[in-house]
Amino acid sequence: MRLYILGIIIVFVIWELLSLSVNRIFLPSPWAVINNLIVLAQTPGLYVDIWVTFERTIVGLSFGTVAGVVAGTLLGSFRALYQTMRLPVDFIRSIPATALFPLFIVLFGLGDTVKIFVAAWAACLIVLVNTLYGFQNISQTRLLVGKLKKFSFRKTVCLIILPSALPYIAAGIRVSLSFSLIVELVAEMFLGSQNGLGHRIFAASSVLAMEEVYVGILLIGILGYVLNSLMLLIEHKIIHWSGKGS
Amino acid sequence: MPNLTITNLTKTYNAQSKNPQLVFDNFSLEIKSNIIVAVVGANGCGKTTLLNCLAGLIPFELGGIKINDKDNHNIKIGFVFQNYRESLLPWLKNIDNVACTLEQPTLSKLEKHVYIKNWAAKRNIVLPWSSYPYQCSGGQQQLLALVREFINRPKLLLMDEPFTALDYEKRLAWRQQLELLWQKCPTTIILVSHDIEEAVYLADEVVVLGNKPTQIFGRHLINLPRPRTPDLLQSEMFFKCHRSVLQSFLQANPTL
Repeated sequence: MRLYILGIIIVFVIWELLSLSVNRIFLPSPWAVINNLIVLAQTPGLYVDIWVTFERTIVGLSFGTVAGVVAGTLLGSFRALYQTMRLPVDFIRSIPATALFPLFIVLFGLGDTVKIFVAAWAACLIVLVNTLYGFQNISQTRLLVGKLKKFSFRKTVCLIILPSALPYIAAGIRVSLSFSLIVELVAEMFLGSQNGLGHRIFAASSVLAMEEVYVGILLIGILGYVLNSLMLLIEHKIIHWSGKGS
Repeated sequence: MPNLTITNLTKTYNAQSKNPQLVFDNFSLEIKSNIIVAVVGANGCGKTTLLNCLAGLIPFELGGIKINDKDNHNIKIGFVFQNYRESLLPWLKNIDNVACTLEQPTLSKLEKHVYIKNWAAKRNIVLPWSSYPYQCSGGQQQLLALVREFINRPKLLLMDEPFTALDYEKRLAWRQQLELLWQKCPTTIILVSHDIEEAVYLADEVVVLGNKPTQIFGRHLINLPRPRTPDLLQSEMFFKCHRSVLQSFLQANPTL
């Protein structure tokens, strides 16, 4: 725990030293940033921005996850479908979501829909591929157990197939989380947003309010960290057995 | 009175292709009730195919497999895998690992738990029921895999090299565990092994297979006293049995 705090102190010291050696406009001192954070924390706008970014990311991630799991399940269950769709899926997966933003604007306009959609899009493709891997890596021995014990289709799915794929799906969701957050912030910067942390950073930088820019960055870092920790916590609860020698 | 009869079993892999592989050609075998039969043979002699046919996992062209005069598909057959750890479901607690394959459809989940605990207690089997398999030792996992089968009173229990993945000293311990459990819950066991020592140690009869299509190169009755102990491994009687099985094994594999 002490080393944990030491790490934070080191970062702040390096930051302070760096800010002394460059133009303060580009890198304000950590104290100035924290001061600015305290000031901004007294305005409701900051909480709205945090909440809006959090909400869009989570809602997008949820939709994306559901779509990805369903599509991955279908591709994982039907060999012919997998062979047919393998190339298109790999191709679409290779296109960075940001390259499609202009297309998404045409399709969905500039409202909240498009901002949720981009997060969902990014998550869906990652979860899809992970789900697919999960299905392809189900232990043959366990499937045989189900067959020998004459499990019904439902029992096989609930007791063997889904739990087997779950660790892969969870890993997919955790990776998606950071990707969704990335594209969400980019979307908030460039897709005509009126709120959100992405919008705040972009707006602050255009009026050279650098301290506020760094407040935004700091908050995004915290948001990402908290989301990831939350996900790990849930994983630990639900798939505690995963990766323990079985 | 024989328990298991295999008559004129014929099985070909890739029957439709250009190079079909005839594994069994009119293969017959009779096995008495409630004994342990070890099937030994070199790799590729058809041991595993035999188990899979018996378990009803793969189809065969001709012949019949009867257990107590009933077709093998209509009878309770247990199967212990080589990788027992992988055959357990790590997301279920130990008790649910047994409960989910317990053949007592009329019982509720809670009643199943009681049934399992009573069954185990009567046989002095101690397992941490509310733990998960990954929290247990290898020995407990092995025992769990065995309990899961024995509790359903299978008419036939098939074991596919269940001790292969173990250290020698653990193998010695778990052979005893298996024998103990089998004495408390008698059933016919067919144990596939490529370890002659293990086969002789556990079995009442050792069947040596070889060649393709598979043939029986020797059937050896093992009249060693039970329960068998590691001390037995040093005895003259054991060596005699071991030698005769090894002879058949070498006959079956003349190129060795």
